[in-house]
Amino acid sequence: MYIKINNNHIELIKSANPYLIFATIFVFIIGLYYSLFQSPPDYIQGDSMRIMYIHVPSAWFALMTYSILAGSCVLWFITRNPLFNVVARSIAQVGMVFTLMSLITGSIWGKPTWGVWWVWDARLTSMLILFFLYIAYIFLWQAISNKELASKISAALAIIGFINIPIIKFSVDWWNTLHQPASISKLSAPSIDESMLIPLFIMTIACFLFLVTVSLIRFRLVLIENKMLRTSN
Amino acid sequence: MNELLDMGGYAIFVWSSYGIFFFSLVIFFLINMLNLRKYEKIFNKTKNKID
Amino acid sequence: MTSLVKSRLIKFLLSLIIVLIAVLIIIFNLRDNIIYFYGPTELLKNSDKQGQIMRLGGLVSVDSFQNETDSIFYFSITDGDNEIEVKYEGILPNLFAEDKGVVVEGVYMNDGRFIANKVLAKHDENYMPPEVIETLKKSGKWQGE
Repeated sequence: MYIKINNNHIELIKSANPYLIFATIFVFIIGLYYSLFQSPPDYIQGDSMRIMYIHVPSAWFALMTYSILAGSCVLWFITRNPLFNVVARSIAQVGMVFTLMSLITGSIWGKPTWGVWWVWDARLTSMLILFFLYIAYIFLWQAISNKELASKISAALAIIGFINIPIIKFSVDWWNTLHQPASISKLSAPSIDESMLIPLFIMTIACFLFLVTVSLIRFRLVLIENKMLRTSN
Repeated sequence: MNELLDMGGYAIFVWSSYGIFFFSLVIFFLINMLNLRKYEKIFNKTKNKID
Repeated sequence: MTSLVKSRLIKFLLSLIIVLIAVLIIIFNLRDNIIYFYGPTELLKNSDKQGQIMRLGGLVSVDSFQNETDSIFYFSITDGDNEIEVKYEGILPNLFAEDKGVVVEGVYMNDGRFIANKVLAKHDENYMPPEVIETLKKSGKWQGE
């Protein structure tokens, strides 16, 4: 069960990098074409609903990345395999960027739709807390100079913070919020027309490719960081 | 073409959100890519010294 | 699994349960503060809410919208069972319409009316192009508002 990263793995990740970058750009261009040209406006929101094509994937990956982050912190806590610590530190910043993007694009969508940039309802507030959790995780690790201790404290924070994920997910069902409930859920047919699902789907793949590409770059970065920390000690 | 740029009156909102989104993603990617290059360089130098 | 890993796993699960219980207690006690708005039925049931600043949400009742001047509006908010009359002075958001979702912020008066100083349009989770709505309406399959 003990997985160890060797130089062959790193070479493989390195050689995949240019292809991943190319694929990300390619899918983003197709996604942009569909979301800005090849899709109809909404019957109420008009063209402002096009913001959804970047807002929704950002929010999905903000949540997904945090789940992976918390999951690898749990595995690290139990097995103490340093690989899980490296994975957690590789993806944390990408997740933070996606969270920030969903907050900003959501805010820009809220102004023409609701009439305000921001409200303190349960969905928006819990999403802001998620952003702070990411920041806290990243800065705690950087701020504590004893890296063994830093890993423990930041991992503990990430795991406790995971409670926020189901709160974000179900906030729109549990409490009255200004934010609308999910349009796409597994239990029922999506309340989005097919012509609008296509751009959303392509943009989701593009964001996923971005997540993978940058996470792997950061994976290499974190491994070198670790080696340098070891030699400097 | 003008119709597209106008976005049914929502031009500022649509274009600014897409602009901020892609600008941030590109900047974030570049920061990490350049950092990796920098670290690889420093690391190779120290490794050569030890060798 | 080594005994060390097993003991870590048990400690981890125990602390997880404790944190979970703590969070559930907090959320349960914060319930009233987390709710962003009340529906008409909830407000009518709690007369102690009268005279307080709060938010009321629901659908704008059909045929209830009246404007006294360009900036003073009257409408009712319904949740299907009960209605509350709202008076609002200000600018309405673009997406404000009868039979659409809305959240108003203001004072729930003692006479059962609501004086709003802020109106937010609440969007639902449906995303459809205008042509699809037309065809759905023609074929009588449209169940939305």
